[in-house]
Amino acid sequence: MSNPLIKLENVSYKYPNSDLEENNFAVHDVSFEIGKGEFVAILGHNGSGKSTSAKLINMILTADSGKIYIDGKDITDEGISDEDVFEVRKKIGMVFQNPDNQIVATVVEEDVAFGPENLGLPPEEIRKRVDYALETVGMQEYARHAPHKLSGGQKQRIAIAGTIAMKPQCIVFDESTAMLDPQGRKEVMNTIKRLNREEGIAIVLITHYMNEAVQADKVIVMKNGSVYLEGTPNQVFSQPDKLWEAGLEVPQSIELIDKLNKELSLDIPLKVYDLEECTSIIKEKLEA
Amino acid sequence: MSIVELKEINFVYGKKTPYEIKALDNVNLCIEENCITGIIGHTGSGKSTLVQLLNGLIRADSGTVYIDGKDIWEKPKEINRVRFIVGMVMQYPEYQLFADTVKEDIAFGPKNMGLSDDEIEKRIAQSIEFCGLDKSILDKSPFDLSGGQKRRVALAGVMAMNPKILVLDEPAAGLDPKGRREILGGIKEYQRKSGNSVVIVSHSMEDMAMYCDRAIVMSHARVVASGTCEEVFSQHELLLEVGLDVPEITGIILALREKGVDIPNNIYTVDGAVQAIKSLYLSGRNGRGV
Repeated sequence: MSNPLIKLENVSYKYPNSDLEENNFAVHDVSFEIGKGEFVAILGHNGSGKSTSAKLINMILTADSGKIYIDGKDITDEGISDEDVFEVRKKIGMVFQNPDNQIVATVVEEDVAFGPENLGLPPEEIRKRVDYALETVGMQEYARHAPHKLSGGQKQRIAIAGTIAMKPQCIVFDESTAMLDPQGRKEVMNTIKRLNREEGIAIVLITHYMNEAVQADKVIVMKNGSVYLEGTPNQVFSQPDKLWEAGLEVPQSIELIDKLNKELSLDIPLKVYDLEECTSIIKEKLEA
Repeated sequence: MSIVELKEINFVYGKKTPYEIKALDNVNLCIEENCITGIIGHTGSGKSTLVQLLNGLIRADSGTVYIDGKDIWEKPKEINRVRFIVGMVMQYPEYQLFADTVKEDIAFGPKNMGLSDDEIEKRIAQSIEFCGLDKSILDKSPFDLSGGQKRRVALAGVMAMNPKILVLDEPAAGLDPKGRREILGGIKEYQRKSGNSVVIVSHSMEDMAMYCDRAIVMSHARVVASGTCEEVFSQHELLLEVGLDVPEITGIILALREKGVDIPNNIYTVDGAVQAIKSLYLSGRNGRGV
């Protein structure tokens, strides 16, 4: 089998200004893998190390100890060149929480072109990539609009287009839907899923919304800087008590079934249900 | 009784320019006292414009804002007094912290109100308790705290002014589920203990259903629904139509009803759903003599 796209091996990191006496690692002895084209959600309480891990992957931060491999290349090696760093950032794109923090131009298509321009691509190629990126996020009609006049969801999709235009193999979304209304969140989630399924781009989705995490192939739960749970959404969300303990929650459908099981001594399996399955099983129990 | 009343409010941004946008279109509404009111609506629906009117940060083009029965713009030069009555916690309030210590930061508002030192001490102690902060935090620099703690300190600073109306714009945005529960739970406790009114703007239907007593729904510069949470969240078609969602649990209940299960349509919390399904289950068993 080929190398995983991202591999962390016993990675630790401590922010330079943190108290030295305490053992306060932001990330402590973390290991996980993200395969090519895989969709992975990372959950965890505030300060659990999710964003720090993302920044380590993208070389915004450098690990204190442990190894990180991107597409087989050891990026924690001291001899790493500036060109290698550039390559890593080309492979791993990032979309942050607030699109206003990463939109730089006054016209949508110029903003999307910013990345490819910096890659030194010829103008025809830039044009192609910008059109492709805007089409992928469904924003081609807004190519000549001013970004600040768009809604939050639209702006976030522009930020995503700017990342897609660099043709990354993986995009890290760091709470990219946190500021959006339900409609905007749906737009962005649909775009993310399409990028994964149709374009084969690996997705790392850092989120506080359990309903977004259930859509991933794999879920990693972090707690106090370490990996706490890891598995398919079914494996992770079938343990509501453990998630509560980590300061998280489960989707309301699972919470409902968990509580019904306890209150009525039922044994409905705990897993991720869609609306149809969830209501069918409850109806069945009511009629049994 | 209502503590806030808005009458025929109109507000336009970019007036007489090509970018003219009507943010509030003939809005009439009342906010009841001694409860938590949630304001929900899609981005650009006029929620934020609405809350900024409440403490006179902006002034409507036409219409009147009454607080406690008084027109807040009766004497425009004294608009500052309204800001002690209506406390405002903006989105991401942690960016507004500025003092050397947490204590000084929280004391800033009460000091400007001209309160005595004893009273200020008392208010600080009370407000940090509501926000779930420990006394030991008071001498720390607010900039050494975690994001969640900073948020609470900012909130405590406004609570310490004991405003008759506390307005919060997305107080739980960006917090993890536990942080959300703690901060919203603290706000609820503050409301119950102080008897003051609280207005929360949020996108999270689940949170609103859980913590608010009443809800106002905005869409395209108008109020399209208002009432108790039960009244508002049972209008699921309307909520979907205006680009919002019903809480996930309400979606499950509605789908059960569609399948012919005889369950009430006004359920919007998981515990409510558990109780309703439980009673159906038990009565079904009794009915069949099991």
